[in-house]
Amino acid sequence: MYACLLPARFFLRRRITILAVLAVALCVFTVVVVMTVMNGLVIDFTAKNHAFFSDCIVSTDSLVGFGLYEEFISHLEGADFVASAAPVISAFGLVESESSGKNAALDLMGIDIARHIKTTDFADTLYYRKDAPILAFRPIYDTNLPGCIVGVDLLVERQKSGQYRQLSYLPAWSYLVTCFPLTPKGALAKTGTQLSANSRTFYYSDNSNSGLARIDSTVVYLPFDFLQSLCGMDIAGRRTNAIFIKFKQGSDINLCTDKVSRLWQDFISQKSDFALANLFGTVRVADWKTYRRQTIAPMEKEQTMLILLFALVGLITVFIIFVIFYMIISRKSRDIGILKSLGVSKAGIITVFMRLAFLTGICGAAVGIASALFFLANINRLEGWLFDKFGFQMWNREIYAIGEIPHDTAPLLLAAVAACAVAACLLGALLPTLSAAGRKCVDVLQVNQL
Amino acid sequence: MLKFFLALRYLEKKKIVFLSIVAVALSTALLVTVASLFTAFIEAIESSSSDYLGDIVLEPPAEISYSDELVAKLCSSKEIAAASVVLSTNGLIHLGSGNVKAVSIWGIDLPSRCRVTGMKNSLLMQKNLSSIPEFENDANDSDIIPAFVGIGLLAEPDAKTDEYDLSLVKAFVGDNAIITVGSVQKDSLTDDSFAGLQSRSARIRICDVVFTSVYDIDKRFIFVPVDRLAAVLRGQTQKPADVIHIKCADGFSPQQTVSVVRQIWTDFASGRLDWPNFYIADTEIITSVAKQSQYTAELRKQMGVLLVIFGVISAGVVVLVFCIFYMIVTSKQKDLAIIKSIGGSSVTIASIFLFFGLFIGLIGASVGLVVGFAITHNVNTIERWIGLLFGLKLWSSSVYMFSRIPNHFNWYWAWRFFGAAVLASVLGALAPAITAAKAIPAKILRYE
Repeated sequence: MYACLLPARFFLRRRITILAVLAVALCVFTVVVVMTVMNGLVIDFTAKNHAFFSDCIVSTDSLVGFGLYEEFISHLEGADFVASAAPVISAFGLVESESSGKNAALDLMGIDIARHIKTTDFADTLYYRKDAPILAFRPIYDTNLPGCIVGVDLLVERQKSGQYRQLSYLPAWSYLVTCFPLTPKGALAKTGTQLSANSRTFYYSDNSNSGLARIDSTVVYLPFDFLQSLCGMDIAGRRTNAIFIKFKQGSDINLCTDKVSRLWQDFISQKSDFALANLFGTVRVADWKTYRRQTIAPMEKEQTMLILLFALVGLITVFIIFVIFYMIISRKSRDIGILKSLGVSKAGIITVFMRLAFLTGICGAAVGIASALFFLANINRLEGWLFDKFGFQMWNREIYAIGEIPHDTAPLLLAAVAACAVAACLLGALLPTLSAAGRKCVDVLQVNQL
Repeated sequence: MLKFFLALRYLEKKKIVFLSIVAVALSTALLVTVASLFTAFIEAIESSSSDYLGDIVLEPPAEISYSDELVAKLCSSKEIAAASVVLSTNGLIHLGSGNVKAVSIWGIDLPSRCRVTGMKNSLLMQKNLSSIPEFENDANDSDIIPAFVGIGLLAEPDAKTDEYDLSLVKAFVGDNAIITVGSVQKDSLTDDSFAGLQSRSARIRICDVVFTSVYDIDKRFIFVPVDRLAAVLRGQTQKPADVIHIKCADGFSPQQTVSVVRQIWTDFASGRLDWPNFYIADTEIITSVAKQSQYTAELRKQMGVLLVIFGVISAGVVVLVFCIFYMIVTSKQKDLAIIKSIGGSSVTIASIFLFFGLFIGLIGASVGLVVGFAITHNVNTIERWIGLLFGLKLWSSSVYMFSRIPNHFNWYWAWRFFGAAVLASVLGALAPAITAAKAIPAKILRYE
């Protein structure tokens, strides 16, 4: 009974425990808020990548590409785990505005819009043709013209609030796109003895806001067939750089990626006598996360670094708990002596103080989590108020592709932080508790010790 | 004397005190390191901007004709040491079989550019020459344009070490490549004849490699003689320019010199170019540091937020010192009563603990400063070791711009945190010191 009553009594009676609870709560609050925001940013970024790149990508880094892609797509579509697949061309081009005369060397992405919107969430990124994405390459002002979709950051101004200043009408802007046509050997295609660069005019038909800053500020989307022709990927057999694949709902992405990999290996072994079979050598099959590893990994590393920094800071909480328990135990030496003289064992003393530490940890975690949840629920409102009153924004939305500050807390994170807080308290209280348990009642209760 | 002696004795005898020293040191080291690394990164951005763009950038809304004359006028001013023209465009480069990349092409006047910026130091082959570097023409074919190509266009840094294979890169020197640029058939503000757009291709010869250690520059830029680029774009061999980079003379700050540049520019644009006033006013004349200000301001804000978060948690140090001191005061009641009974005043007693707190703050903050300095100074070595031990590459130039972590230790922030740590320790000792000062010897020293 004493093992339950005494910890509760020490906890309620000793004002110093409030200090311990506050120290733990402060640490928990900070960790929950920072990790929720950081986790939210990472999850949001990875989700946007997934939406943009589908589940699995068969691709090559070579601009020359690889052939027989339609045949392989037919194979894929015959597989029971594949929902859809779409070929994609990635190339570089010189894009010149015919209205302003300005030019920029940009990434070009050739997509077969009908298949692409089935395979990825590209339709959701459009502005003017959101309701009819299949018509995305047909400018509203003249549907017979060849259209191009431009990354939103290339054309549309972003306001400080994070909203894009979209025009209510679709302007009839035209762009001259120039590409180097490459032969299957990678050489520059020549017209006679002249160096050749293919050019064609496209008309602004929509803009795409994928939420991925680097893509939205560098990519112009063109109809697949047109870009294929501009890049010379229709010379001596049609070629592409990538195939995006969407698996059926509920499929295990890793397992299905392995299956695609096996299908690809079987396919290229069957086609070993194909004239451009040498181009298959650079093709790799990867799930979306591996494909985007270089972009996602730095964010995950930063998250890990932050956790390590907080672990270091959490060490101070352990110190505080240690000292506070040392104080409590020094002040309670007589109680300990009396308990021992009444026959309480070492384990009994340890139980009393460890329960007190547990209680401190739980209360600290509860207070910290409650205040963090309250703060997170109002974080965007608070930022809005700070922006209105003082012009302060946590992240300048003109620079960062961030919408709202993430505020959805993961229950797992809360549980982990609470567990760590309790563990820190138990760890901090361990040494003083062991020292208390080791005390002898004859020493403690000597008259000159009282 | 007694105060110092007792404070030092407590410091020596009470082992638990070391816990507070460790906590103070840990917090100081953390804050100093975070602040130093952030400010070093910001300074590196600003300094790379000056190294690359000079001190001041003059960017008119249209191309400038007679740019040589403008440069001569600028250089005749005592505030300006040198000025250099840039003609910029975007294009594609074909480096070999299937190897096409998007590039920014700058036409430059090499001698003046070397005076304005640190270009010579970034040239892999010519940086150690005593003479001014030069674009070496192809002996066999004068139509081939000599060019300096960014190292990132020729190779990728190693995924593990983040270093370039320099022997592989140097092997490209002497190779030919092809560039395609967009040629706008309207070459100045006063030319109203807009003949449309045309893409033009030209052969280039890689005569040196540019390695600035700034990834975005190394990955995207090609430099060619300005007259040759003008010939490709416009079919003319003059030196038109769309940007002028300016270096200030010694003793003149860029901020002061901006107004001088604006005056010279206004006179030139209205007198020689006959530009209308709104075009002249629309010309951006700005220091290269200010050009990065939006980005660096964001970084400073993030640093501030991070320091506040760590600072709040580090405030736990005050609690820690308070608890430890309270404990010492409690256990040293008899000593304090004896001091009082032999004539020690309450102020003396309080001073003992305040000095004690001061010592702890000084020692902890000093240790923290040393640790912070060691971490900041050796951050590249630490990062390399982490990579070797755990296979984790924390720093990559493709993500964080620079090939090395900027590791300049920031003494301004270091001394601020040092002071804050000492103050926090004294603050933590304050309440226990007051409690100690209130001790009544008659009560404490009673036998029962």
